[in-house]
Amino acid sequence: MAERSPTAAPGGPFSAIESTTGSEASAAREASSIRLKGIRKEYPGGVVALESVDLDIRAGEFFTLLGPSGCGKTTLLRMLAGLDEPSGGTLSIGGVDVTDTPPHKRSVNTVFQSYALFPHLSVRDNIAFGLKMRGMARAEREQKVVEIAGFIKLGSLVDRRVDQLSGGQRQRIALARALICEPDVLLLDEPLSALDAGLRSQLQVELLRTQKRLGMTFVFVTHDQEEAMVMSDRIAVLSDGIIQQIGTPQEVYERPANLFVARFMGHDNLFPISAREGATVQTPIGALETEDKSEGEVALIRPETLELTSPGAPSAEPGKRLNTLMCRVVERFYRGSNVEYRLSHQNGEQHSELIAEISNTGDRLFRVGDEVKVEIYPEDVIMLSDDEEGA
Amino acid sequence: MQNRGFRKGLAIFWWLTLIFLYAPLLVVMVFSFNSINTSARWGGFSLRWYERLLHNDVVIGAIGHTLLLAVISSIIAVILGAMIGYGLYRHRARKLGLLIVLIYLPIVMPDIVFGISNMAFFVQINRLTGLLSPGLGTMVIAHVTFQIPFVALIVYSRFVGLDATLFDAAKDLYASPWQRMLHFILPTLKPALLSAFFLSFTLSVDDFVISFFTAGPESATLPIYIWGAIRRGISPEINAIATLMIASVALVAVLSLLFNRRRA
Repeated sequence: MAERSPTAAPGGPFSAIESTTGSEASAAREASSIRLKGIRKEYPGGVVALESVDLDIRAGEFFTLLGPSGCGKTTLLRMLAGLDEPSGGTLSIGGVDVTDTPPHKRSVNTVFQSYALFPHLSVRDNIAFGLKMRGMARAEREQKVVEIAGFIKLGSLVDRRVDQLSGGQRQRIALARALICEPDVLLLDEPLSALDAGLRSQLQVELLRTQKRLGMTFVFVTHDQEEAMVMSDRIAVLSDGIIQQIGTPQEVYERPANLFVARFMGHDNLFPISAREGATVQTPIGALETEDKSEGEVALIRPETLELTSPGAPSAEPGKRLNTLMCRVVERFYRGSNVEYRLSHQNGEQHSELIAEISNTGDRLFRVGDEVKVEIYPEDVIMLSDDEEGA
Repeated sequence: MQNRGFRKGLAIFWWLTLIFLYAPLLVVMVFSFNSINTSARWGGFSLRWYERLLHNDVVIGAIGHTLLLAVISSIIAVILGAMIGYGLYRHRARKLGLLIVLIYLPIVMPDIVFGISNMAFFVQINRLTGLLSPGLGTMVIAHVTFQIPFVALIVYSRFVGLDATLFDAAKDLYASPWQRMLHFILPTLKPALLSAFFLSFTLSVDDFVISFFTAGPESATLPIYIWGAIRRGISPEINAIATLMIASVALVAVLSLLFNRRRA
């Protein structure tokens, strides 16, 4: 059983944390690696929420389950918590099979999307709830609340009533309530989705720092690919109950495994390939040279890899064979640090749109209506299979 | 202005409503302090009818029966009704149509039908087994049956108004089933259970028809006593009893209101 003794060592992780580096702490928490084997979830009536998921989550990792609503990511998280039972497969935490362990006997805590703070309890009693259920004495509980309040900088919030708290404050209380139990794994179900943008990015940073300082395994659920990339060590992209890709943010963004992942990561420059001959592929924007030797039905060109120059200007890298197309600027979005251009390209009868993101180096900007020369490096033309896993 | 006339009309309507609601109660209360034996004329202030009540053992007994019946039946109804309310909530995803109709039927059933059926039922059982002879026991059973739907409804709506993930949170925070009951469900329900108790209590005290058909010779409640006494004409003594009942029901209502306000 993954049950842990209710009495923790004196001076828990929240008091002595400054002297512990992330890697040391994570070594101490080796027990928290998670292993899912063939996890299935089928609801009565034949609706399949998860189809044979295999997944290894490393100890001390910030792992994100990313996908659109209904993809099964929350179901997966609830299974880790024990709140949903798998229809098949096994789940182990720290090497111990917990497939049939009820939620109250798992050393796993959850920060819920709605925060789920108990309305009948004070903030203080909310935070201490888990410790109380595990039988910790009052004096010790109160000491722990003081420690965690210092750790997450709750200040005077602990003396408020739950209904006096704002969304961001509730989120932090919910985090404190889960962390105080010192679980092997912390689960977070879209904890930031109800907050406004500014507060959200601030809490993203706080959450990430907290995870690194504790070295605790965090499993995070979100539908926001930017949030996933900012925060995660690794990401699993899900769709229709199937994992489409697992990788670091860089891998998932730069080398999406298929068309679904590419679209979900926000890529727009996707062009179907009609024919291929050696290193040349035929697309609606003309023939493109590629260094990608893998098979694929769609070419992906990330918007930040495009080079834009005036029609007469010399090549961005003379001596190298670049793909070159002439386009017209249709729209321009100035974002300060970068500029996004929407470009239109005419290839005979074929009309296509491209998006280019150019970092703002202070050079002259193109204007709407300008003709521009677009250069694409062959290594930036990536082959994608349009088959989604399981589709 | 047209609007102004409309508002005036509404105001008049409001005052008429208040008058027809409370003036009759006021008349009864005023005449309970009348010094002469009539409700037609005011003969001066007196507490003589209240004094007489105090020395009337039948009335004192009836008050005792009323309170005892109300307390016992309300406690039982709150326990059983809360369990039904929780069950309805837990299984709200299923189709519960018929069950809900079965539970709520007593609310829409005319009291007189309900009372007569109860009586016939208890008489049959008594004839066959010798159990359930008419008295406080049969009255408690009858009262609990009509109180339960109200309790179940109050408890169910409290649960529905609750964030369903709270149940998950309690599990997630190591609470065993018993701990969840003790530290989450009961404290969360407390206001609902108290309102349900107060409502059941007033329903029981108010009830005449069902009590009348299920009471035994020794278990007459205050409404039954009043009904018997009234056949000899409305005496100021009845006014005094009515005034006491109004006062006690008002007290319970105010207590329940105060309690809910303190929670909110």
